[in-house]
Amino acid sequence: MPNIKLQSSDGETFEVDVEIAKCSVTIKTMLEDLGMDDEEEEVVPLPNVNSAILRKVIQWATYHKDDPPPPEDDENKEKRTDDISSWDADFLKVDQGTLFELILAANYLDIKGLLDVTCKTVANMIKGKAPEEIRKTFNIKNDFTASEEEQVRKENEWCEEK
Amino acid sequence: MDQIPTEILCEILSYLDTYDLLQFCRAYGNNCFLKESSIVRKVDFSRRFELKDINLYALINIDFNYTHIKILNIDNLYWIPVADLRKLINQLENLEELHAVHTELGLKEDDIFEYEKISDEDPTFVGIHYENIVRLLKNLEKVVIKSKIPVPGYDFEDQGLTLTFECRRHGPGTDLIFEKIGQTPKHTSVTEPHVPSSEPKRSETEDALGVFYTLLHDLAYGPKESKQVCIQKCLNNTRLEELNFCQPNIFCNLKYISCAMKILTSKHSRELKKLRLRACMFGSSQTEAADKGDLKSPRQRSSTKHPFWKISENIANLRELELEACPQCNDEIVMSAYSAIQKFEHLNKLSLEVPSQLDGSFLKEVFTKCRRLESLHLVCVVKNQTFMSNLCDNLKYATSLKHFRLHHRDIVLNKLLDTLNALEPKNLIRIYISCDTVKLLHNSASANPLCTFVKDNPQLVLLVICRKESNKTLEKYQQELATFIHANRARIFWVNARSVPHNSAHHDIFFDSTNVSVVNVHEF
Repeated sequence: MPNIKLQSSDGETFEVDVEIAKCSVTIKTMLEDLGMDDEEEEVVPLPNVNSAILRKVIQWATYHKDDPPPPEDDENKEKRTDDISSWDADFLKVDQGTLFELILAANYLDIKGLLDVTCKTVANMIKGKAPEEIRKTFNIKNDFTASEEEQVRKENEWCEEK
Repeated sequence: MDQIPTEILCEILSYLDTYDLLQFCRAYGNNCFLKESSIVRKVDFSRRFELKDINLYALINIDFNYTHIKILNIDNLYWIPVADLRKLINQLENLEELHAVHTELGLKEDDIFEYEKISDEDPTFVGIHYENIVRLLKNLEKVVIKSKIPVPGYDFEDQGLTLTFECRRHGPGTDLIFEKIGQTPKHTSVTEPHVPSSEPKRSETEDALGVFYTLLHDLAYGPKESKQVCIQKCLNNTRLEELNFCQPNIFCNLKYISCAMKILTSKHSRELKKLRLRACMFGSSQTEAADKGDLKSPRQRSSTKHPFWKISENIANLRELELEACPQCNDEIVMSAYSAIQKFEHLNKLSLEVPSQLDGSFLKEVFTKCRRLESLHLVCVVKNQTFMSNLCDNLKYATSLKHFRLHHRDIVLNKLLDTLNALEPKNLIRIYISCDTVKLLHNSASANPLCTFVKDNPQLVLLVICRKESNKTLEKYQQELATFIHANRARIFWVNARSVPHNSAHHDIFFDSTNVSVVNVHEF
């Protein structure tokens, strides 16, 4: 099968099956727009993805190469987060920084399947948690001063004891 | 989180239900996401007892962009004054679906009387509350409400909404669904279960289901699957989402059990979400093995896992498990199957009828591994102190627990409250305890243990202790609890009850009725 070379932001080159690489709409469009055919030895630069993340993305794409294309978004369809496959769940058992970088890479490379599953994973990390737990999980700083806190409290009177 | 662009953050938040979204906004210190059309299209606060302290009208009015709201589900928010609900709903001009079962919006007897009287006499009658809502909200395509009494001939036909479903199974009153037919997908009403069956069966599972049709009067599966089977006339790629094998008069029947096992191990059951079983089935595989000359010696048996472990691998996505005890099937093999419950890591609700031989030693593993367990219903059919002791020792591991129901002959209240109070974080919302006698370990130095418990658990909405024998101390405690009840309309603290308080919103915990393979209005 014809291969293609993908170059990460830190200069590492990965040789990948073209069909696998084309699961990224960004790469697919790039190949079509630039008229690069499968025979050429051109290297596709991916300046927004570092080698560690690109390696993970290729691993994900290789595993899912035979998947049917993900369905288009339908606002009437119930959005579930409990349908992550066990392989994906294991694949995404990474530190939070890596998970966020995977989201950014999936978004940049336009890989809907990967973006969906990473977003679902983050959503699952939020579900069922109290605000303080969410702040702790995502290291969100509560940097209000006492008076600002009071202001916020007033603005959020709906959630106070009646 | 700062590195995530807003559009991706919105995508992530679109997977949250409305309450989790609110919690995130509070953590993030920004309510701007509540104005996003992609996120707040569906506002679902159903059964969110955590909202007991929230002024819902103010919340939606101030923080949400309410013109984006197309679906509103406020089922079971029974404490919100009717005036607030009407004001709120009248404002949602683009609303397409309204779910308001067990709310103050329910039709009451006076309403019906008025409706029948006035509508008979005056053809220009503008209608009562619901009708006004429906008239005002021109885009409504579906209304799910509850009527306190059956309403013959009640409909919104002139607004294009037809009564498509009527169900009396969920507590007093009637669940009603009105829908625009033709614009919405074909309705899935299953008031009369369809039994397909003149068509030839093609798979083992279909054969097994065929046995159910001959033995039972009811289907083993739920309304969704029934619709699919009805259309296809065979199982094909049907994924069974709920199975109820506890049908009347079919207990300990080997043929029935063997068929149930076949269905559970088939590809059709891999997406199973809800399952109701009777413990007889835990003995069957071993019996079958015996028929095939494959029965292991007791020593071998103790060293191998029960066959239910293998079945549990096929149905590992289970969310709700209801397990009935069987007085005839209570040997060591049957008891050893309970530990396989730990395989259901996604389990949200566990309902167990506890036989006298079940010691509860499996509970720690279940609580530790089933991290999403929110509802635990336990009914000890006879006195079982070993089980209670194991429960009290291990309940602290059920860290997601929100709804707890327990029936046991004797309850040592202080010990049970200490156990429940040890749960961290404080998620418990509803506690229902029923017993013959309540024992209190007297300690003159200690205050009312129930008041202390309620103070320590401000999130608590329901605390009911039902008992047969009177208890003067509890009567005193009940009076002291009154201050907590008066502070909040949502709260029901009733510790001196001989029967359950009247409140349909908590019907599920009061009566422990099955939620498997019965028509559930919330699913339409």
